[in-house]
Amino acid sequence: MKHHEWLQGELLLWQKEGIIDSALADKISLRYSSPKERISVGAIIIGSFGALLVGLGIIALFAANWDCFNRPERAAIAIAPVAICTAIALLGFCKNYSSANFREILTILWSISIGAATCLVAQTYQVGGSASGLLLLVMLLTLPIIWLMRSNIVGALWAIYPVVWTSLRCYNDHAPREITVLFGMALFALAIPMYIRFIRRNTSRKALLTMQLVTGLIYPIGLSCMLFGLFEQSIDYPGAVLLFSLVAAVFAAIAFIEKLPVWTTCCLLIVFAMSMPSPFLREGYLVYFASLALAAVVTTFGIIKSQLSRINIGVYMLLWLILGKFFESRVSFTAKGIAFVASGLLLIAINIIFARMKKNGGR
Amino acid sequence: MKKKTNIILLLVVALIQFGAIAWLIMRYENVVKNGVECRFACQAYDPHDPFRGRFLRVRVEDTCAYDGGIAADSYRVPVWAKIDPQGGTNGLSKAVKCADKPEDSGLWVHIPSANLQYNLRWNHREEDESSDDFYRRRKESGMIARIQFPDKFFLNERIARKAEGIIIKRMNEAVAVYKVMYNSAVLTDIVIGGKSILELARE
Repeated sequence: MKHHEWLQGELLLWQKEGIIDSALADKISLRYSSPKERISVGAIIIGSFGALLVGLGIIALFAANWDCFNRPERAAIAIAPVAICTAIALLGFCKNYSSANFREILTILWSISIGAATCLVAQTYQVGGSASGLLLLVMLLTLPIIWLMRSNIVGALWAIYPVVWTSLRCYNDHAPREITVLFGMALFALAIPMYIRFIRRNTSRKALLTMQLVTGLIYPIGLSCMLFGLFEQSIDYPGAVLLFSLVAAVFAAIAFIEKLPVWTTCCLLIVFAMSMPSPFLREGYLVYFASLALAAVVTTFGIIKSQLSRINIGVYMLLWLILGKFFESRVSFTAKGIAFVASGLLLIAINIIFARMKKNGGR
Repeated sequence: MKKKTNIILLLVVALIQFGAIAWLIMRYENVVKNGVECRFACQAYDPHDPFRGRFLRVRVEDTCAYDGGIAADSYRVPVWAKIDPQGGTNGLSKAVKCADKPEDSGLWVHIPSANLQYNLRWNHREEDESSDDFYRRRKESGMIARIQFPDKFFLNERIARKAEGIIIKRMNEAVAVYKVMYNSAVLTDIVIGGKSILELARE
């Protein structure tokens, strides 16, 4: 294990000095990694789905409302899955099970068990109350599990809870918006240290990129949705786009500082998604022209840096915006058809050209 | 050392989780066993969803005078309602007043969502009455609160539909039974003609 840690440190140093690139570093790391360190993403995904199905099956069984059991018996049945998961975790710690598969799957099962237990208790005792109250309790009870089990996937997905809770409080319960959103954002902030812990650990590039993609979408969208709840009464479409874009810009700045390239792409995609209706809306003119400018900048940047992904995003944005306006106009269908075919051929051509350039080593 | 720390943390987390769930169970068990029984006339129907299974959606509404700080028509505001367990007709209970917080001793229940409105509605305005005069009269008429009690009664999926049918046929006799304690009301049964809906649905 000590040799492996030394190697990881050296690989980081070599990358910083430009001796090797990240792809080569990954290859070397994987070659000399201990079997425990190797994460099979496919196995985690399949295992996670399995755990989710088991959990949903348990919930469905509870939903059948077994009134053949009395209240204390049903309460005991409710707690049983939680007790089993706790016992498995204890066994895992005693036997030093540290594989990512084990931790992620157990965390999913444990989290679902907590949710099912609280729901069944509420159901058994015919407790009224709001969905937001139940969600808050489940949210707070699952957070220590995620920290304890060092689960990354569930930790990233947990950030969705505060967003849903804030929406339920604002729209279902009609709670005061300002306090609710502030509290929701405070809860949301609890998710971030888990991700910081993850990126500080030495881990494979695949896992880093996957987690960047998940958090790069959830964090900006979640935060934007909560802030939108605060200004909803006084905001229109351009205002909403501005809000989402500002939040995305903040996360893009963090991505630049912390070297999280996938976050930048995610932020671009979020801004693009928000600007997609602009060709079709009368009040979207400002957004439309701003998006055109952004698309041109992204495309130019991609060409200069020879980054095919950036070029594609920029070109897709440009094509959507131009063709959107074109499609809305009164030009004949023949002309529209020709325009679409030409755009598609242009995209294909750009991709082929740059893929060939990359293959020939032209960076 | 790390293994020991993890095990200690696990035990702490388990204690918190089991403690929270056990607290819920003990609290509501206490309410169901020792709470003050209150009965209200009700209607019910049988929706279901994939996570909660089948349940009877019970509609129990009552109105009473509101004596709080809100001075305008308001919807879905939290209030406290004082209940008289024997205050209604035919041995039913009645909400006697509502306020922003419990004002005196008695059986007070927290209602998360109530609609408040003035006793006088806009259609009570007289033809030649000015807006200011009517508004003054409206304010003086006082406010009432329309309150709703907890509305979900979970039951076995096999009998849910039959239970709904029984309630629809005998709607005038349906009574929702609540137990009240710790300022909250828990729905424990629906009774028709002195018999529990669960018994009737199984016959």
